[in-house]
Amino acid sequence: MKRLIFSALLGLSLLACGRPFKVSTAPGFVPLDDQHPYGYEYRSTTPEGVVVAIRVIEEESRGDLDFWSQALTLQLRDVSGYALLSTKNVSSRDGTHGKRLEFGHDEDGKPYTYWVSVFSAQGRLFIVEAGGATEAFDRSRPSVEWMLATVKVKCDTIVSPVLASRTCNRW
Amino acid sequence: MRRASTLAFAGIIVAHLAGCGAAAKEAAPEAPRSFGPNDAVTRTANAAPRDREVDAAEQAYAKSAPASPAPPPAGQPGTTAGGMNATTPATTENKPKAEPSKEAAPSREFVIYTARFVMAVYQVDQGIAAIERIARENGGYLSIKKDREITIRIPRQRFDAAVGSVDKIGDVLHRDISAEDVTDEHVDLEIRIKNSRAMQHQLTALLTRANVKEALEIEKELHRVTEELERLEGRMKLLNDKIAFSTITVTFEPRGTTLTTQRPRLPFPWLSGLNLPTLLQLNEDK
Repeated sequence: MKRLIFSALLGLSLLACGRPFKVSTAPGFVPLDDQHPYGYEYRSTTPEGVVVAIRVIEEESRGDLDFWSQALTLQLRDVSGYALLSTKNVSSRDGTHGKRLEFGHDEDGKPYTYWVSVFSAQGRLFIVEAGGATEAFDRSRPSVEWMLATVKVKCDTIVSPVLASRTCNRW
Repeated sequence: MRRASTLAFAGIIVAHLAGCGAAAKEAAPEAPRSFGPNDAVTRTANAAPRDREVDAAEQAYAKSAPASPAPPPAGQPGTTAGGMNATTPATTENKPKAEPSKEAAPSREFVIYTARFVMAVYQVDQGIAAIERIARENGGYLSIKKDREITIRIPRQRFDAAVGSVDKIGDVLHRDISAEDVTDEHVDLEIRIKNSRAMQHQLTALLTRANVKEALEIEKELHRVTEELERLEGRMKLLNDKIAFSTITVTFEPRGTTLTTQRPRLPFPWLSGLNLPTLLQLNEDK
């Protein structure tokens, strides 16, 4: 009996391993394999080079959402010269509150769009990036928005798969 | 008791009257101060020591000058003579009381307005075109245009409106607006020009009755004075142009160079890895 319980717990904990989030790839995007060496947990692209990517910063529970969105703004806007076009409050599919910073920047004289969303949950930071040439990005915008809406932070508890982690990040 | 209250009442009346007197005394010197040109006259007196030798020549010339020279056109910048005339007490008294705002205007007359914007690097070509349009719409002109920088000149009266329009063009990272009061320099130049002209006239007059040896000396001096006058007039023209047209410079660049040295470096290396080129540089490890 003990062995059975142990095996079940082990199985559940293994299920909880892997990416600490879920995301669906929209039609027209192709997910790229093993993006770890480039600092990404997930990255997908369209043929036109519109890219959606997710980074996970482990063990980063310091600072609230305002801190991180301000740090991101300072880095991208003031230091790198990205134009901050808009800031939006967003929520991931599991209800985690986040902030989306919408930037614009010229690359080789061509306008590009760059969205950076930040979520803080489970002692981690989730940075969701989306970008591409503004013209192409505008065409893929519905798909990008759809993908961003599917991002779901997994609950980092052994019982999470059982509870489907629908509410844990709202606590 | 009644005597005491009478005394107190009298005291109040006296104090009130004394207060009025003091106010009147304080107000009296204020009235002429509100005239810009009068200020200029005061400053001229301070600036005079540098031109003491030239002043002597001017005084000599003034004696031979017509008694009442025609006043320069009103409102023309750089007309000290007119300004001096305007400061006579008669003019001050005749001015209606409701004119202080009009009187305050001349104090802003010799001010150079400059604005410098640093904007985020997004849609630079469109931004530069929009700024050129702002210059045209406000009666100004394009001064300098580079890949990521543009300088326009705007009539002083339209400066605020133009700055407001530039603000709306893009994401302004930094804005630096300055107003430099050049009244001292302007007045100083005016006096120097006036004195140089007087000297020039006097030397010309002397030349007509000089012998050959004296004529050579006078011509040498005349040449020097003329050169000085041309230099001063050039400076005055430049200064008047800077006053009449404000300068607005817009640069499309990150503030990074100054900001990274000024602000503390956050201990989050991943922050600096966030950028478009990294995101869009696609690789795949199989």
